[in-house]
Amino acid sequence: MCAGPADASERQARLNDDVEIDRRLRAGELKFAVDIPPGFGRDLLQGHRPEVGFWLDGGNTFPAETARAYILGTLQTYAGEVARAARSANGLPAETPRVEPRFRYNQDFRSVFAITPGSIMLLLIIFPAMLTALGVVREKEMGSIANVYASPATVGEYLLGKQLPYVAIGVLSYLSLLVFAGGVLGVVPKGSLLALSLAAFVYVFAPTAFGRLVSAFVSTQVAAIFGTSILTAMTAAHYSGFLIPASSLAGPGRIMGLSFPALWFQTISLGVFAKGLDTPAFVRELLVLAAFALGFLLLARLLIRKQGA
Amino acid sequence: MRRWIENAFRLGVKEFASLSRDVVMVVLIAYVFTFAVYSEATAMRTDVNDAKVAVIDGDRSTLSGRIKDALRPPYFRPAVEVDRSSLDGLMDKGAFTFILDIPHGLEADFLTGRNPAIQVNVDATSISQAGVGTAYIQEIVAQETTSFLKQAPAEALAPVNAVIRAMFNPNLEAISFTASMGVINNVTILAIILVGAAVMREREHGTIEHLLVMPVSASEIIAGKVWANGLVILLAAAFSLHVVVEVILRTPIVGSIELFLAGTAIYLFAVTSLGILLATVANSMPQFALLSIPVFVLMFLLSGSFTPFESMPRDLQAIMDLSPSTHFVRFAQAALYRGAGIDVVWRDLLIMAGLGAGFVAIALYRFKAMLARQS
Repeated sequence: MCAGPADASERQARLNDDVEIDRRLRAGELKFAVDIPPGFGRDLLQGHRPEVGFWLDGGNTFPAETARAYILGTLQTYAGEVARAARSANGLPAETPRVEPRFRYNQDFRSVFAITPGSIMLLLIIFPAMLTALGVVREKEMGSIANVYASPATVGEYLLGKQLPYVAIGVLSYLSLLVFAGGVLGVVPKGSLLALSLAAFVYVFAPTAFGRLVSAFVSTQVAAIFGTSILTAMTAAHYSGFLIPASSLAGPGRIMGLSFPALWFQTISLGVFAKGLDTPAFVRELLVLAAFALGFLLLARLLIRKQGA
Repeated sequence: MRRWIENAFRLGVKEFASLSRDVVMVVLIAYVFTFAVYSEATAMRTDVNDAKVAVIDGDRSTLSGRIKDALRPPYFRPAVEVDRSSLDGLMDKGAFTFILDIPHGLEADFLTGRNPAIQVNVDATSISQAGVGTAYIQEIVAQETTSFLKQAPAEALAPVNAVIRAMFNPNLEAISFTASMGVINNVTILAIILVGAAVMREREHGTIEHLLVMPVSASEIIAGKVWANGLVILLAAAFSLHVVVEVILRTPIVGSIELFLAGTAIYLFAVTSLGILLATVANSMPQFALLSIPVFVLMFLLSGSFTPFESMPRDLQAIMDLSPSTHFVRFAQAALYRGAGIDVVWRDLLIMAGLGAGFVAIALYRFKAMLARQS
């Protein structure tokens, strides 16, 4: 039960006094220390319920929470045995109702099945968006965009010409991710492959159009790289149902999630890969994704036309 | 030497000028160190929080009612009652992470010792909640049953009285940890992108050639970019810790922010040098972007800021010891959360400085070769 930095043998580490505990916790050598007071054995045998001190390193909350859960769990298991014996002795039912968990969609509870659909969602939004934004901003920064303004091509033609290649790259990325997920990670879609592919095709239109939108605001490539990566990666990782289930998002996080395409694609990606669902389950999500693609594109066009004039 | 410092200083001032002209970039930097740190700290929880849970109550007894009422915030949203026929549809839609199926006759079976079972349908695709949440539900069922029998809670029956004290962060508040790790990740990303892109831009625009005809050396160009961009990031990080983390998020920082900033300066030296190194490897800005993203993503995912460093495979730990981010995260956790002094953290600082010197040496070598090719 010792979550020490090296291994369980750390348990043997002799901690003579509080100063030593404090110093070694502070240096990060120990994750927790157990402090058994003098006279512990005697008090225990006499039923005085002696105190046992557990000192956790609270600096990093996640391992500290885990260590606390293990300590409490061990104690509670033991106390549960005592309580059961007491119930039996008093003629009460000894066993509390069993709780039988059914881990649906991922029986072995392996994280790769839950994380891969999300990674595909993330990669398909960050890179197409960034590359599209760079495609335009590069011309802005180098000045070659003047050639475009002087040419007979309309703004719409220019935008589409600068977007479609990146849509193609996005689709190719999707295909290679699909092969990688199946071939290397062993994560294959359980549901409709057609629904997933259709969704991916519509989905990559949205980030490429979003990249366009960003390119209308920024004038340097640094800002394009940095801006698209933080806007897409942060929103897509935190507010899409990838790290926190979409149903648990509340307040501003929920609004941010709903107003970005990542959450909608994540629902389809998880639905097809893990839950084995079919196309009809995703009609709403597909329509919303298409609306995002169209909306970003119209907005970008509006802004870029103003600039060109 | 005096001449070298003067030149490096002037070249750095030139960096300020070009950054301040990029208004959008300045706004983005302000955004990541303020709003983004704030929203990440308040939204990202490592613990089970607000999990959505539903109950199919087939028993409608006192016991089943107690179990349902015990599923409460902060871990769970108040439980919703649903119908058994809608179970599969609701799970498919992801409307709930947990649906408890309480069978008919639960209370009666329990009282007559027939040991009934409650089935919990868990959406195992939400790994952050599924495992821990199931354990919480098991605990809640056991607790409610014992208190239903008017038996004393199990803890009171334990032969010892456990006193658990979390040092440095008594309530194990995740906010301060997430917020500072957010600041650290921003520092890493910006250091690589800002400095690397500054070099890349001069290469693409051909303004490197302007510098070449002037009497400045490659090391002066590098030093100018490192100190100027490093200073901007250092100031932004200091502002973020003092104002966003301490004042707005109201999370006390145990350690010394000054020591932390001194360590950050050393870290910035190492990471900005790495940024220049990457910029000498790439041939265009898009290439640089695609090259730097995997570098900084791995640097912060595997540095110990997301998962405990000790839990990673040993070989991976050995490789990640070569990344300045690993030492920086270890330094930051000790200096910021455990109030450790220089006597504890000097080793990590020294290694970061050494790695930085190594990156600078390689970057300088490649930079000179690049200049020679271009002239």
